[in-house]
Amino acid sequence: MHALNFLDCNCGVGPWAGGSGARYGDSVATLLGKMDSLGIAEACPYALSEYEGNAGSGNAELAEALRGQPRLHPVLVVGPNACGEFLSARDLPARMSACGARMARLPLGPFTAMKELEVRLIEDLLDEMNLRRIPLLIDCIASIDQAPLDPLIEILSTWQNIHVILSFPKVEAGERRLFYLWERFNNFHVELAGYQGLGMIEDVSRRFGGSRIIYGSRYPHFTPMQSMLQVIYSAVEPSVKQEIAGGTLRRVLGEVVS
Amino acid sequence: MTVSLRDAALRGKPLTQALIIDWHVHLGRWLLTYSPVVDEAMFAAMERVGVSKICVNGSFFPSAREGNNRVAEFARRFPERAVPFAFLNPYQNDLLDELKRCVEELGMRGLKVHSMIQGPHSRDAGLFDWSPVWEYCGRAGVPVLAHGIVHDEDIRRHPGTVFVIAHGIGVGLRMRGLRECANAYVDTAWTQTRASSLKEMVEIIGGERILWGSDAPLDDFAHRLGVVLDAGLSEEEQRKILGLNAARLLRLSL
Repeated sequence: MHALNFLDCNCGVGPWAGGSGARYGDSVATLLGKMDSLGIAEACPYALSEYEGNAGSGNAELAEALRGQPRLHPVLVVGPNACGEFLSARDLPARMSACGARMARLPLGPFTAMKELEVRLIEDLLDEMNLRRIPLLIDCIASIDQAPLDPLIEILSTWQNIHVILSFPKVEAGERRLFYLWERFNNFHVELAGYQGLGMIEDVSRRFGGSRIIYGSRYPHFTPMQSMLQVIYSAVEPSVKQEIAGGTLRRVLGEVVS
Repeated sequence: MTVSLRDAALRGKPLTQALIIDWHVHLGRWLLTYSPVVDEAMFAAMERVGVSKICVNGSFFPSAREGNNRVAEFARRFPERAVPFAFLNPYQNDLLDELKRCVEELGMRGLKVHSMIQGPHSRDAGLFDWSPVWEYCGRAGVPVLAHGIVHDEDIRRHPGTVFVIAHGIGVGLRMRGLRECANAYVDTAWTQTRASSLKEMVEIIGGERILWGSDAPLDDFAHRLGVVLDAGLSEEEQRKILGLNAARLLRLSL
C-alpha cells in the first residue's frame, strides 16, 4: 500500500434518484469499505440527496449518518437562500458546529438551484464563511464553464479568507482560466478528480506549488482510485504528493474558526 | 507471493508483470486543452506506470496527411513504444488513397476516425462514402478506432472489420444492441462515465472486446488505469483489457 495520508475532499453518500438502484448512492459503510480497500485515511462526504429534492433534508441526514465516524467529516451543501429554503448565513455556524462540519460546497449545474455562479445570491453566506475561514468547494457538475472567471475573481479577491476548491468533471478549454487564478490567488485550489491531463500535477506544482491541487475522488460517480493513482505515480517530491493527497486540506480545515 | 496489479499500483510500482498497451493516444497538442507533456515526453510517464506501447494517431494535426507522416516518423523513431494509426479527413484527401498510403507505405496498423474533426455530417449527409474504407480495413486486418462516423449498421454490414467505439465503456445501451456483433469493441479512453460502467460493459459484451485507452495527453495513464484496476474485475479480465486484447487485434508477437 502507498504511504500517503489521503483525505478525499469530494465524495458523496446517501440515496440519489439519478442513480441505478443500490449501486449508486453509497451508504456510509460502503464508503468506508472503499476507503479501506484503497488506503484512504479520511474523507469529507456530502449528501448526494442534497443536490435534488428538498433543500436542507440531505444535510440533516448526512449529519446523522456520520455521527460517531471520526474518519468522515461532513460537508454541508449551500445554495441561494433568497427564498429561505437553503441554509442561511445566520444558521450556518450553528449547523456546522453541531455536526462538526468544516467545509461547505456549492453545486452549480443545469438541475441545481444555481445554474451558473452568481455571487450576489450568496454574498451573505460568503461574509459569514470568510469570518470563520470556512473553505468552499464549488462543484461544477456538468462543465467548468458554470464557474466563469469574473465571479470567481470576485469571490477570491473579496473574501480572501475563503479557500475555494473548484471541482469539475473533466478538463476542457475553460481550464486556461485556472492558470490565471492560480497565479493571482493563493486561496484558489483545484480538485483533482476531473483534472486528469497528463503531466498536470507536475506542471502545476512546479509553477505554483503543491498546495494548489487537492485530492478528491467524485465518488461514487468515479472510482477514488483514478485520481489516487495520478498522485501516487506523479513525478513530484513525496512532500508535494502528501500536500496534494491531504496535507493542504488538513491545514485549511484546521484554520476554520468554530 | 504474487502481487495483484491493483496492489502494485497502490504501491506506485510500474505494472511490468502485465502487458499494457494504450489503445488511444494522440501525437501533438490539441487547441481545446492544455497539454504540458506530449510526444516522446510521454515515455517517462509510461515507464512510471508500466505502459509498454502506445497506439498513436495524428488527429490533432490540421492536415491529416501531415499528421500521418508525423505519426509514421514517430513510430520509426520509437518502434518498441509506438504503434502507428492512420487518420483520415475526407475533405482533404481521397479516403481510400490516403488509407492505402498509410497502411501499405507507412506501415500503419490501425485507423482512427473522428466526427468532430472530420465533420459530423460528412457521412450522414451522404457527402462521402466510407464503405470502401471499412471494407479495406477488414481485408487488411486494420482495426478502426471510431469517435463517431461509424454507425451500428456499418458494424453489422462489415462483420470482418473490427470497430472500436472510442470512449465506449459508457455506451451500455448501444452495446446491448451490438452484443452479438463480435467485431464491435469499446475502449476506456477519456470519459466521465460512472465507476460501475466498465464492470457493466464486461457483463454486456465480455472482457475480450474492451481495450484500455487513456486518450493521452488529454488524460493521464495512471488516471485511466484506476478505472480498470478498481472495477471489481478478475486479474485475467484486467490483463485482457489492459493489453492482451490489443495485442491480439494488432497481431503483436508477445
